[in-house]
Amino acid sequence: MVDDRSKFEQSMNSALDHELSEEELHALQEQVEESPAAADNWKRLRQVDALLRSLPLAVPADSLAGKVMAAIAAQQIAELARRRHGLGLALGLVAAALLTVPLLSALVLLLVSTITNPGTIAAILQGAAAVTSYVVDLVADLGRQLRSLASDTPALLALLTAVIPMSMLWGWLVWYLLGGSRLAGDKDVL
Amino acid sequence: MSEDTDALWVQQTLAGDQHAFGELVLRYERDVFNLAYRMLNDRGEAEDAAQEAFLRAYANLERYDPSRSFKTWVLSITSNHCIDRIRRRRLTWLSLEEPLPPHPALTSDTPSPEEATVAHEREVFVQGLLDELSPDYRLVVVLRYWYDLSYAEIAEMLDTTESAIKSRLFRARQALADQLESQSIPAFDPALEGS
Repeated sequence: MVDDRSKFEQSMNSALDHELSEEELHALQEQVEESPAAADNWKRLRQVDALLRSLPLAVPADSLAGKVMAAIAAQQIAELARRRHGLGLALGLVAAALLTVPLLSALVLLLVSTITNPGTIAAILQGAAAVTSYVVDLVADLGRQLRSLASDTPALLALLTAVIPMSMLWGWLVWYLLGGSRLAGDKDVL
Repeated sequence: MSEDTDALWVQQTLAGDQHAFGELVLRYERDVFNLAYRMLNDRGEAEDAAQEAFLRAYANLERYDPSRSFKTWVLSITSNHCIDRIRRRRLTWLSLEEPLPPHPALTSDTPSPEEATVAHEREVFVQGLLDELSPDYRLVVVLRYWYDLSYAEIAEMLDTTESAIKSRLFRARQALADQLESQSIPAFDPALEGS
């Protein structure tokens, strides 16, 4: 039964492709006429076939070929630029490599000669010691100055001691009244 | 004869003559565009697809086997590209609008306004039917009806067997016939109605 149906469908397909002989076509016609459903289906298949055959090729815009050729030309220019860029990069790398070797060699030689020369090392260490001692002296001098200022004018120290906490208190009060605490809370939530 | 000149133009293109590829584009632009249009049902997208297909053909010309037809080769590139586009379109479907119907001037053989209108309506109707098919079925129908390719040629293009193509074409025809059952066919042509 399934084979018969499949054979029937194949025959209809072949008939639409004009691949059936006169006898086969006649046999198909007879088979179709036996069933109204098959006849209806066959009619619709032929309508589909006729509809599809009735449409010509869709025509592109006149500019299509021009666009294609322009795109190809643009692609070639881009490719050329890419190759040039690649060549430039390669030459740059070669030049960098050629420069790096003598520069690196010179640097290594300089380092080696510095490290192996005791006079140079001593000069470097002396320089570092001098800078350190200068900084230490500067800090000690500053401390001494502050101490002498405090002992000479104790009122100034007392004033500073009172003014600093008062300024902080006023600052906090202004910040609180301007809604600073709320903003800080929002920030925490965020 | 045309296949001889195709082979010559391919050789000339490979030798660096861009003008020769221009000749190939002029010869096959209509075939390539029609396939893209029938598959995508959008004129603008079809032009983009046709252009892309030619660019791919140009870029891969060295891989072209001269024993095969250039037309079949370029159509195969077009069909693959269109199916890719349809897949991508499904993945990133954002527009809810129906595609615009093709312009009445889409077909070249429309001498009078009445005939142009009839041809346009038929075009829209058939394109609507094709649009309901899956891309694989649609492709077989287009290659068979618009290019008159044999089953063997279609099978070679789609890298499958002739029996698979036969079966696909029959199912596609049957699906189109089923669609006709649910729609009334406009009386375009007495031959279509009466057959």
